[in-house]
Amino acid sequence: MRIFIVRRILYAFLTVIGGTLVIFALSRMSGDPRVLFMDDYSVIDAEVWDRLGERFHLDDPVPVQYGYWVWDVMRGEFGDSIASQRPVEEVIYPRLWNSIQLGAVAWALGTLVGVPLGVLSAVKRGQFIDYVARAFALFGQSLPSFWVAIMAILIFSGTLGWLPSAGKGEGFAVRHFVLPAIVLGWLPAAGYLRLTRSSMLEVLDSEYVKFARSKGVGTSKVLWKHTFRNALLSPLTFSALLLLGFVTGTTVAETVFAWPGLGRLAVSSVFGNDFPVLSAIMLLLVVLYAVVVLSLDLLYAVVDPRIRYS
Amino acid sequence: MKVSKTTAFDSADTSPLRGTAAGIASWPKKTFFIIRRWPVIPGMVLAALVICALFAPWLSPHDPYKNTLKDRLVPPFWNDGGQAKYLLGTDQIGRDILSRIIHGARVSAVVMSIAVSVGVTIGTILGMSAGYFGRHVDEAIMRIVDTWAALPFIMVALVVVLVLGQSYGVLVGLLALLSWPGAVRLVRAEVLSLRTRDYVSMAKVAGASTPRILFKHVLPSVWNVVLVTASLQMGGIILVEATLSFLGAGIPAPTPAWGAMTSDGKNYVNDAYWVAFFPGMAIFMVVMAGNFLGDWLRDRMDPTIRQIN
Repeated sequence: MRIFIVRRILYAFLTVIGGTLVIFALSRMSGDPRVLFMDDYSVIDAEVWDRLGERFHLDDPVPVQYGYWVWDVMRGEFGDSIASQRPVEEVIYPRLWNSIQLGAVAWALGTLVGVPLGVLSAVKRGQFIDYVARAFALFGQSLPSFWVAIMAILIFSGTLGWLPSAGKGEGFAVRHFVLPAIVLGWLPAAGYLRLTRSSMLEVLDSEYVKFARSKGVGTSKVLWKHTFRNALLSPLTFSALLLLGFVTGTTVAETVFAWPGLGRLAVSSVFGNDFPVLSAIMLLLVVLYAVVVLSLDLLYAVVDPRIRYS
Repeated sequence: MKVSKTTAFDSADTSPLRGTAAGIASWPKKTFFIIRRWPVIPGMVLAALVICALFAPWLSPHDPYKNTLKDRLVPPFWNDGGQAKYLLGTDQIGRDILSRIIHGARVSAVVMSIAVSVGVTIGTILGMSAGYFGRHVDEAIMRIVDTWAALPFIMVALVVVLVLGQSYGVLVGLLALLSWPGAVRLVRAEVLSLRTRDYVSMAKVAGASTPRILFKHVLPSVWNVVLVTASLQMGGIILVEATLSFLGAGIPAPTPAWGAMTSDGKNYVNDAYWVAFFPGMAIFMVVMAGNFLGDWLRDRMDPTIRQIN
């Protein structure tokens, strides 16, 4: 078990190091990182140019530059945002909080809809409710989220005028959350549904469930105690993949709904050549992913002892 | 299990009663049976995609680039003010939407097929190596896969497109990069279980070279998995391509691409729903067809692969 934990922590570290390598490579892809700091029309005087060169240690060999960059990043010094001329942390934190709020609501929505529907669809297999649930999942996985977002705006804020189409509102404005959370939560709901369903069907077909049934254990006890508990493991694994889908989903949902979060900030940083902000966001996401995968692995090992030795 | 209620989703079920329905049924029933059993509709959608992509200039009623400013935002023919000339209406500068969707099929089809084949080929080779050689090779490949999975793809792609410029090459390359890790995981898992099979050991004892074992003995057994991965990737790749083009990092502007067309329609949606609606439907249909086909192939070829994709 100890070897397993050490190994997993090492993996997480390697993932983060790999991530820094790629992000650094992206920043040097255009040859001179200073180019990323300007658009086609900006004018930089020689003094600033030289100062930036010194800031990035451009006279040193590339591996040394990487070393300096990692050192800066480890101390939390991402530099200043190009667009707003403020420290990157200051720019990111409020946005991060907004994204977490939206993400949490959407994730809760996805889980609360997806998992129960998956159970229901497995239990009522081949019946009407099963078709409805699977159609819901199919649509969620096939509809482009930006299109759903636009159509939701058309219907619910344009035609019906029920909900706001953009922005976050003051404080925790529920009305502003509805549309973005549904758009963002549909895909995870679909994933959870399909996975819960197939996993439930598998367990329902297993010997021990059949045995429990033949022994005369009540239906609801078989379902919740014997089946559901064991079927829950595979949707759990999905959570790491879910996070990846979330990053794309948030980027799109925040862009369409003008939500002041990280995803929209990332897009505007790309088009505004704000590389310090962008690299900080990417690194944050890499670390987040590594941590989530690590904790899921450990959680898994606690729940299912067989995994520790594979 | 209720045999009579199985559907296309459950093609993996090989109940002995299934085959008999076709024998005694009348033709409408037979047709329905075939549609349930074979992916007829997804097949037709994908065939339509390929036909549109190949014959776009002959199929489309108008020039997709020609703007007629007096015919701006004409609604589809069944709406008030619609013209039979423009079946699905026109966009904000008076280009025919149907023609643009037909031409847009080219971008989707070309990008998807090249990206998936390149990505899955690379993924298969790496997955076979990881599974077969094991140990350090396996560790190295899997760590790269993990790292790549951790990176926020959409942002990496945006940066790359920004630096290298918008082009088919860049887009296809990026999407191929997106699709290889999935193939590595599935193929590796399959090869891990094949490695210790007798026929592989026999080939080794008989003195077959490693490449020969890999390509002659291992590859034929993972074909199923490769095919299933490729088909499962199709929908996802089209969605990501559309998303990139929606965010403004797809194929450059005048070329019709479905994602960018939806993005164009975004600003007019309250007055002219059709500009955004139809390209989105096109994406939806192709992605759904891809997902259906992938699920069907997976269930048919190897019910043991229960990956979510």
